[in-house]
Amino acid sequence: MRVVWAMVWAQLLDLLRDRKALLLILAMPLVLTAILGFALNGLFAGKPLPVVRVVVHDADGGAYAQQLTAFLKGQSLFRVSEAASAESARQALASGQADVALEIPHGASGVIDHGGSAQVNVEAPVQQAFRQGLVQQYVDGFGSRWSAVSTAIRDGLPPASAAAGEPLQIREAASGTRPLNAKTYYAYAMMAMFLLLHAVQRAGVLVRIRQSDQFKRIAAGPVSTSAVAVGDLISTLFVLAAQCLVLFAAYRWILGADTGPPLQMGVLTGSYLFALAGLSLVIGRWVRSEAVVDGLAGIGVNVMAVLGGSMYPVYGFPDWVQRLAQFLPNGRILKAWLDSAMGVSWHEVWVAAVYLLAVALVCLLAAAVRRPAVA
Amino acid sequence: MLEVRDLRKTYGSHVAVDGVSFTVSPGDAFGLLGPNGAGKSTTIAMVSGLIQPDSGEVLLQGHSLRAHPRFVKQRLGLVPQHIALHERLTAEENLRYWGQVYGVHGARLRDNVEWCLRVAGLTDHRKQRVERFSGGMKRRLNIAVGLIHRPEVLIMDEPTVGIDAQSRNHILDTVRELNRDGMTVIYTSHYMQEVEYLCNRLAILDHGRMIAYGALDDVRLLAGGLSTVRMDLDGDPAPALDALQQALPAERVEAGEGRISFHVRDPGPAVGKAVLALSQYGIAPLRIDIERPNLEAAFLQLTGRRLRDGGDA
Repeated sequence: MRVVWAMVWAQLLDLLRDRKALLLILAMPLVLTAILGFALNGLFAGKPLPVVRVVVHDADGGAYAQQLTAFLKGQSLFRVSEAASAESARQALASGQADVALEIPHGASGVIDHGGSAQVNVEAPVQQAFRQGLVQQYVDGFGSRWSAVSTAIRDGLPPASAAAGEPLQIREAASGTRPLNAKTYYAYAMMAMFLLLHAVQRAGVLVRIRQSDQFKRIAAGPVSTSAVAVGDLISTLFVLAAQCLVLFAAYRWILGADTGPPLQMGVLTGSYLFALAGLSLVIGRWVRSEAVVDGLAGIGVNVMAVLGGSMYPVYGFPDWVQRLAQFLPNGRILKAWLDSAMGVSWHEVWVAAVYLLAVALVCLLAAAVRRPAVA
Repeated sequence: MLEVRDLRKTYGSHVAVDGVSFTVSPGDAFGLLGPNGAGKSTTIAMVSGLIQPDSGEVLLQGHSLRAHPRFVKQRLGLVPQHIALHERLTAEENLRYWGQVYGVHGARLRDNVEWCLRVAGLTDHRKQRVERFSGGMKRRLNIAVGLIHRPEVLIMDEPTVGIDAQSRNHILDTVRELNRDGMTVIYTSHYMQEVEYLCNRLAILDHGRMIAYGALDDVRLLAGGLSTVRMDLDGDPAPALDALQQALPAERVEAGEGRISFHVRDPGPAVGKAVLALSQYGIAPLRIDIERPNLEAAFLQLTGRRLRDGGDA
């Protein structure tokens, strides 16, 4: 272990004295996040993100339709108005008075009460796709729960709220209990992206060292290849953790981003750092050319950042992209961080953490089968 | 002490090293000489355990590198061709770091660091970062790092490439001093003067094969072992040719206008005899040049080309 710590110490000291690298690792993410966070907060006039103006045309008038409208009105994310006709709803949309139009068709309540799937139309201009997606999620979530309640009542198992005749209360546990603002979103989005970028850049450093005479000197010494790998892994973890701590502190206390419970955030972040360190190691072992790693850092990380929601909120993407984002470590951690900041259950956290640790394990195994060779 | 047996390494169809064998005894300064691409660095890489040979074996004190890598590697010190240091660490930090990598700790590490700084002449620059060092200082520290665990065999792969004459001389003197103090040295170079200056035994490699091997003087003799003597005279040597040939019966004396030359194994007595023979005809030498046999000549003799022309990689 002494050898491992010596390697970690040397690499960290080397990095700490590299002002240019420090600037790239710490200053750039802070500046970029500040710009994005403040710019987007300005865009939303400091209100919680997203504030969506929804115009509802209820052509049904049944219990489901009324409850859905009431549910949306009860959400701080939406400002709901009602239109007398589908035509006037579309006009409100066209004139910019509303961002999203909701058309509840005639007979929707009957269909859903009998266990069917009610077709509620959510319309929006192309540029409002994000808001459209958000409203659609709420409508779908409400619909599935209404359907479950209806089935329960039909089967003689009335929920307490329905039996008491009180308005139905629905809590979206997975989406958390606190609203999200733009600064919080972009703080985590940028952190996910920059940590990923730095992990890939560290892989470039590993490739460069492997091709240098420094590696020859290590390989000529009485050091096992596994000790070298552990040294690389730990030093990468240290660097990523340091970057993460600085960014997190800045986001929390300078930008005012929300956070989840410390333990939840710690578990998630630790898992993500392990996944990234593993990714860094596997790239460092398998890629021979530093130019290829540069390409991965330039193109690969950007693609992953876009798909993972770091550039544009993931809720605005089509379903398949959102599903794909959950396979990417950065996409998975972003959603998990945001969920934690909004107040989710531990179950959601564990699922994300286990997935990220599994990614780390796969990467480490892939790195282990490749012994570094002298160039 | 170190025995290299029939090493062979190929890269695809290219044979980098082909059946190289040699033995290095304790206290030797062993030179591996050859042009660029001759296979010196590949041989060194196999000897120091950086790459596995396709066949052949490296033994140190009877222990196989393949079977007992840790035992062998702890006793070898490698000075790579290029600078292998952490640029942003100080000289002392670098030595401490590499010492720990090579398993040296505590008081022994402190002592070794001091010794290495002294050997490299960098004691006054111990707190200076390597990035601020001159090229020569970096080279010296590069060598010092190879010594940090006090290896029994120091392997140096062309350590003077690309440095100024002053630093080169310092390095050569340092290596010679280390060798005189008992350290066994394996030194690769394509500068025959360095090998002649430092080494008592050597092998010459060309196109991956060993074309000469033995003590320095023995290898020199492969060039024919004859020194060339040239004498500029104050008169025409033609009348004295017979007397010269009688004085130097084993050599062929060539005469020109106001000069003679001959090839001789032992130039000292031969020059005396030639001067005496000439004086009988009233001819005196104005200038005498003696060109002793050297490795350059040996290489030329063995390969048909000059050492520095042989670079093919």
